Amino acid sequence: MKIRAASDIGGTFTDLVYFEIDEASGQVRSIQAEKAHTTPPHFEEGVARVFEKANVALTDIQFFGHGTTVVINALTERKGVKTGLITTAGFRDVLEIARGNRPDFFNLRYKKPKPFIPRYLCKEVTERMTYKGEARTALVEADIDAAVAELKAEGVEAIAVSLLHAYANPAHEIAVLKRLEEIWPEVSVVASHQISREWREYERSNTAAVCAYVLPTTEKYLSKLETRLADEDFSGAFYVMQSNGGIDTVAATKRTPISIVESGPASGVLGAAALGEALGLKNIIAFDIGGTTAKCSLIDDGKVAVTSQYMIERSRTSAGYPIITPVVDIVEIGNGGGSIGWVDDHGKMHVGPQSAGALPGPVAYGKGGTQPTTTDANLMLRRINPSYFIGGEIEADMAAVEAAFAKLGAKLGLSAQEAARGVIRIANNNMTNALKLVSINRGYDPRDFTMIAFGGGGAMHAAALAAELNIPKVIIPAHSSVFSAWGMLMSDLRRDYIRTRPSKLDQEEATHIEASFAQMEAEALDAYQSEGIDAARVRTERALSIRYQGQEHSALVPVRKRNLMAGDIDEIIQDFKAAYEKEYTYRLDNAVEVVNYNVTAYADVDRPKLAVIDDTGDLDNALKGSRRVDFDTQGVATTAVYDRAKLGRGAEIKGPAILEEAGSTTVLFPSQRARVDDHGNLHIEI
Amino acid sequence: MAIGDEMFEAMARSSMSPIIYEVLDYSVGLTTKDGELIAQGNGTTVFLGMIDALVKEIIAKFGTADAIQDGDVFISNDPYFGTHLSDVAIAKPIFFEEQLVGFAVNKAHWVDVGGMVPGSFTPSSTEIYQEGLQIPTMKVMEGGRLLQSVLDLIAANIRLPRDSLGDFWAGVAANNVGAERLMKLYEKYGLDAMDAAMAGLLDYGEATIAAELKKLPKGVFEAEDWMDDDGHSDDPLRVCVKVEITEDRFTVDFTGSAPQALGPINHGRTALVAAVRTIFKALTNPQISSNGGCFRALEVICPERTIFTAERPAPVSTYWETMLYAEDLIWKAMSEHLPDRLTAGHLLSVCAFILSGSHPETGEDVILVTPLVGGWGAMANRDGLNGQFSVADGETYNIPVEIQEARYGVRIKQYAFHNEDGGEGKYRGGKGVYLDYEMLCDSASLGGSFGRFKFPPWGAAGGNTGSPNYVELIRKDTSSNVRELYGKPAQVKIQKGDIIRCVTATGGGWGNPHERAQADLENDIKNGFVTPEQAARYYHQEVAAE
Amino acid sequence: MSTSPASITNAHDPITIEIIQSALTAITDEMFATMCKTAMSSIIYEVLDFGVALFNARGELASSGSGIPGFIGMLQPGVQAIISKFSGAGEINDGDIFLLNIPHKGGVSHINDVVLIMPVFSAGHIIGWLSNKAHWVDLGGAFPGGISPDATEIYQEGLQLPGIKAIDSGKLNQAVLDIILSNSRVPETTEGDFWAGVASMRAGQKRFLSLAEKYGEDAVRFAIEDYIELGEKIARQAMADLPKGVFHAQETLEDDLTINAVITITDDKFLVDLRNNPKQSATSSLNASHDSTFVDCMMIFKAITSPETFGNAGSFRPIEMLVDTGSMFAAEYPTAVGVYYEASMLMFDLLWKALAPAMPERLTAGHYASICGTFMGGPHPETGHNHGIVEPQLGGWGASQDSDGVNALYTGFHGDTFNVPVEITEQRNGLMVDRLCLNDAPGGEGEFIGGKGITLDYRIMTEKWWLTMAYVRSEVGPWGLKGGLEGTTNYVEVVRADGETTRYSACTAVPLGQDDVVKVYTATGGGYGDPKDRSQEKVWEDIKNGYVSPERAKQIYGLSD
Repeated sequence: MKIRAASDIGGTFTDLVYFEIDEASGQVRSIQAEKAHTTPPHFEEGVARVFEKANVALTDIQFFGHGTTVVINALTERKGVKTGLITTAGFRDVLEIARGNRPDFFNLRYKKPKPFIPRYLCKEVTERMTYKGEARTALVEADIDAAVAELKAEGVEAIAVSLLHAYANPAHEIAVLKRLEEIWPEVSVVASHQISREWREYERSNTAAVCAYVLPTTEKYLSKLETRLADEDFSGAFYVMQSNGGIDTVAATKRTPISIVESGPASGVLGAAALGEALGLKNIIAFDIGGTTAKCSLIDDGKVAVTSQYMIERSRTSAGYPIITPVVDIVEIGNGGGSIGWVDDHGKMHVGPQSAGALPGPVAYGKGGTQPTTTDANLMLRRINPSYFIGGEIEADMAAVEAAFAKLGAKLGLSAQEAARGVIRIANNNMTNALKLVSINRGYDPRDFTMIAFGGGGAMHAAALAAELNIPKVIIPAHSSVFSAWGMLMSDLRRDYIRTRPSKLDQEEATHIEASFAQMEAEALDAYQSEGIDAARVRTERALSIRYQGQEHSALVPVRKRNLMAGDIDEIIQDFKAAYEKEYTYRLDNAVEVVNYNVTAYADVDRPKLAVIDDTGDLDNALKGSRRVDFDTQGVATTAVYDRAKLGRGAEIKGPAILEEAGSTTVLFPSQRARVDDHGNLHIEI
Repeated sequence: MAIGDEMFEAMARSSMSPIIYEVLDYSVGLTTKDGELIAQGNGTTVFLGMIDALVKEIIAKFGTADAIQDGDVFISNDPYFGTHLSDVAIAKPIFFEEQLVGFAVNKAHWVDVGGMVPGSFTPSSTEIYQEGLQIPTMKVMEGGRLLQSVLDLIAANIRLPRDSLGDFWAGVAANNVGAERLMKLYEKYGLDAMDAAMAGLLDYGEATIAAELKKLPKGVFEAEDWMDDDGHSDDPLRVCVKVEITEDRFTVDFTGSAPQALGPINHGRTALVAAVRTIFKALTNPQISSNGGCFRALEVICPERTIFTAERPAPVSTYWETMLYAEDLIWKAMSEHLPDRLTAGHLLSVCAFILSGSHPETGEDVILVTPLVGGWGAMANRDGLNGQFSVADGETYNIPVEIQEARYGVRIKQYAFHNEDGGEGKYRGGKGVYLDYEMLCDSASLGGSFGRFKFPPWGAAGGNTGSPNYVELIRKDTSSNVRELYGKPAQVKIQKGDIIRCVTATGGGWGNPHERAQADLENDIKNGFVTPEQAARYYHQEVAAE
Repeated sequence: MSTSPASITNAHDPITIEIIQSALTAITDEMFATMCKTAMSSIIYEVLDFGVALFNARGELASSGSGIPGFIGMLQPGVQAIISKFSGAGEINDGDIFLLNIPHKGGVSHINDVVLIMPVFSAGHIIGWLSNKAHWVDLGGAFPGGISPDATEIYQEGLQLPGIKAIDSGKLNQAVLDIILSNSRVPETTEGDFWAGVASMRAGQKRFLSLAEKYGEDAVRFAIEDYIELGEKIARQAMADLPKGVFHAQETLEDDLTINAVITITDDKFLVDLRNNPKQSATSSLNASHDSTFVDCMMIFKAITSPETFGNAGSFRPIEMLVDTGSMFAAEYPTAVGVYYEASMLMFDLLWKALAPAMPERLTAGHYASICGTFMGGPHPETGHNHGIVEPQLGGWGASQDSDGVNALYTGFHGDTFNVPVEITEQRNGLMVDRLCLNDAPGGEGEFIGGKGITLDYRIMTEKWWLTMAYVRSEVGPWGLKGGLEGTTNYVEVVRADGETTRYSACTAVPLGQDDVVKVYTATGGGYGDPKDRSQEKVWEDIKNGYVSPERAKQIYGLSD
């Protein structure tokens, strides 16, 4: 028996999703999910336990994908280790100076984010590279030894190395690593070039700093998990979900753990891409509504958008910390099922970002929550069934909900019902803005896209939002509530190589450009092969980030051609100008230049085909009954309620309708229609 | 051809600023649809040859795109197609039966076009960006509709918009007169006849010049001279020319002249061609009116980026000195070979200065800009002319003292010929002047350019060098007995009661002073052109004062 | 053309209005992002020296996106100048874009800040305005980069754009663009920045129109007016908590320049009296237009009245300003105002100083209080192309009643403004940065210590470079509070290849050559409270971190070993 399994460790629960693969057909058998409580600090226990609970023998597991929040937690809770920085002479304050910006700009009592490494642990070494990667001043080894002596004395456990222009030539960083290995092999070390080959010394130094800060913790965590699995005779492949929407080996992850900082959210987007591929859809907006946030990401021509401009703790009032690591380009807003509706001192209604969380949770939980949430509003409007709340686990406390909305409405001179509609509309509006950010604002027309909605609340709001944005079609995947973990099971290995190598983009440069690409591709291949991955399974994609000379921000332009010749350059330039004009409405005659080279290297894992579900024929088998549902501007209507689990292949439903399943509820507005496809995914025509 | 002169009148009548109203420092002309000059009004001859250059630029920029329509008005002050930013050209395409048949063009000096100093020229600039608003060749009216934005933009960047916009409209009016007049001719004679007439006119120009060319001495003639400095260093700059005259070609080669300078004494190739054309006409046949045909036999050679062929962003605001040197060099090379047409060296410099202060009565800001008269060189058979404008200025008049005092609130204490040493010869160089301004406002600032401050006008055939051009400041209260002299005053501060003495050169003499006729010398002494002491020192003649 | 709020009745439910108002912010955010991504000069995309805003039909600020708080007040005068200049029927049309940069006539700041202004039409009439202003690197004039302390009239400071149509009913006015480009020393950059501005406004217009389409003009118009009212409501509520009374400050700075400010806070008015200040300077460009001085009042007012909320026309209605026309804080045309930002900074800091003792929970001790605008240029050693750096510098902020000052931050004028990374500056401009670190010069000690300024050393790598700069607080350091010590000062040292060193607080086009080093020093902020009250542990921490030397610690904090 072959089993593919994925586990996702969250704050409260450790999820497991798995399916068997039919040897003959190579098709997936039914997907199963299981939950167990997370067990800090011994997370590996939680993982083992969830397998027991599902009674899956680890010996049967052929593929194990793992997503974890260990890195982001260590950062946000400042649970990393005492870390030192080694940097270029003259620049020890790089972390503290940062970029000098003050987002909270009316406030004259602003506080700058505190560096992860205090000034006295930042040490300088004499050396200097130029922007062309030439050594202007040789590295002085004695400085390293001196720095190490002091850092040892201070008892640091990890060291970040970040030298100026290491993106152009890492030779000095490599020399420092080598020396550290000689004189202090025990200490955890990471150098900036190992994570990023992009310029901007503060961003790269901070990235190295936070990476070193979490390195020992993550390393221990993964090792423990490995041994724990080994104890159970696990012999399958063990991969860790990366922020870039791919998976990677444990070994690679241990070297630069910062690459899994956004491990969780990425997999959902990946799932959407994988599902799209299976269904032959190339343009997708992936949309995930959870308890506290909503996330969306745009997939253009089947490609998951990845950015390296990632920030943590960035807010309207704080500059936050930049981390240059490839992360799926996700827009996230504080709007989920648990987001609270409230009215400010000036009589304006808002929804979120505060959330009722798990405790007290929505008012309907009856656990003492008094502030109405989006979920409560959906109950008020009967879009959620009060008597089938969380799959019937809880009987919703509707009296409390009514009271909460009456109180909210009173502040605005609205009825409880109107207030509930208001909460939904504002929540939807917030989510619409997020969706616009990834589509319209980047020059994409939502009409060319299909929305794939998942997470607890996705199915609830998707249809309304799609209508708002003229998105013609929404797909609610089967098992939409565990879709993220499913995504992990459908993922390939992915590594992103980005190099800053500014040069003009013209015909003379063609050979240089080709050489740079070839070199990066060779590196990627070597890395995979050294880990025993067959070259035949590796494929790479090329892109250049290009800009008009003088500009700072660049546009990423895919380069399909191999063995670039002078003749191919014009085509690339034209692609750039077209992409630029699409987004910014004009083009210039100015010269254009290359800033970054991007090579994405995938290694395929043979992915299973989707299972085909049965045709259960008559809709009535799935009909649970009907109730009066409030569709806001489209009025209140008597609405049929179906059990989604009982809907067979080819089933057709006309709106208005409610489709209930364990983890979520799908709302179909009047005049919308839905169809169930061969694999149990729900296709809604808007 | 009368059209040019009529436009000239129209402009004078409708113009507002005195620089045009009184000095008539502007030029008008008509070209064919291809930009060949067919008629040239009077006015400063320096513009000769710039009008067609501008029209050719218009055709290059707009012609291909068929963007030239009836009712358009083009404007430009691109100095590399002309002189300096202060000279603003306005051109109107002329249509007959929906066909482009020609252009009416005029070019006028605006008192101020913005930039780092009032009046827009200063020896201290080092880039064109400092010398004022640059107006690339463009439309200011389109199909009869004024492009208000363009005019507003221009007005906002010049210090005296009221006056200069007046000049602008005057220019438009002048062009309209020229255009109408040409249209009438077309109506009367029809397209073919007119085209033929114009072609004929150009051929006539070519033919007459060809005939004149035959009369000139053949061979290679060279001259060398020195310019004072570029206003930034004190080093003089070498300029030179080689003139080659054959039966049917007149070739001038300025190779070897100083490279593009740091200061604003450069000019572009167009100005060089204009300079050469001016002197070329003087050498050939000054009688017939200039047209494109006249210059077909002329060839001008000069490497790029010399002081005569500067390129953007080289400063050019005091270009004219250099232009005059180009002219004067050929003059110098030829004078002794064409004694019946050419004099010895003249004052050369326009001696233009800018006095900016406030009117003592009204308190209004005033900017006085005027060229000065000085001495011309002697000829083989007569003395040089006294108190003439530089050759650059052709038919221009100085601003009458009465008008200057009224408009600018200065007091003119003296305006007279001087008898400084220089220019002695068998025939004497013409006399330069003293012009003394007393400042009546509290503080003012003086800028200007008086070339030939270090290298006075040259004498010919043994005549003496003339006297220099310069400005002397006579301070109201000063203890120092050192004279305060300037060749290129830049933002020199003037206090109330100070006296600004503008001194222009006495021209070069012709022939050995000792050969001067006794009678002439006695006359000179009577008239105070020569002091008895000078007579003794230079002419070795004792003349008893009566 | 415009509709007065009175004529709009509230027929709209609060939810819709709330949604429209949040969309207004989204519009300006999008305009801001577009500008950032498309601009050609680092002064725009890194330093974010630009702002975007949305106005009601009467040109009152409704929403603004900006990295720089000062810019919020900078755009309204321009829009209103256009409205009054083109008051005739049919003079303003759909698709027009106006250009304006004359500080005394609606441009507010200085010539280099070019304002683009665009009416938004719906069903044939104006429902609002969009505007966008950015620092253009060079518009010609007497000095490369346009700005010099030595300018004496506006004509020397670059091309003046008097509120003209660059785009006329959607059609580019080629002649206008031609003039602009031929008068700029860097035409390509200038053209890029022009189009970036246009793109940003067109992005905003698209969103604005879709809003009107979806909710109807009337609802949108009401939402905008209501939003401005809300701004005022918030401001007035916040004023209730302010201490009332008269607060004044005076300071004598470089060249014995003495400046004065008197602020009177009553229940409903924030009156700033700036009469009795020096005359406008005829020999330098250290002058500010009336409008830019008003921005100083807006910023200090906002800082003490609900800085956490948005700002629009309503937020500033309680402010009144008295100032003498022809003084350095209300300079008249054609006075030069190139370094207006330092004049404004002097005044902003003075208002801050007047109020700080009374509002310690909102205001810190004095910060380095100079933009430290540093202009350098010359050929790139690789390409030979001319490159220009136009950069403000980071500096130290003052300490406050409960915390140390912030190290290396941009001034109170700036906001979400980023310095240019060394790795980028070296590649783009071809010079070397020998060091960029905190300036540990002694000063600004107190119970809470002032934040550190920086030391930034630029090494020139080739001949024919130049430096222009003008810093204030070059002789008198930032003021301390409640016994905290004065901070250090802002200045530049030019160290010649041969070691000869010159100190400047202002200079114009100083020539630089190979291996000359330009050392920028910015001030440490003022301290708060008596140094003797600083805890010993903290002092030891300071010593460990090198913020203070052991000797100085003994002397100032009376540290016992």
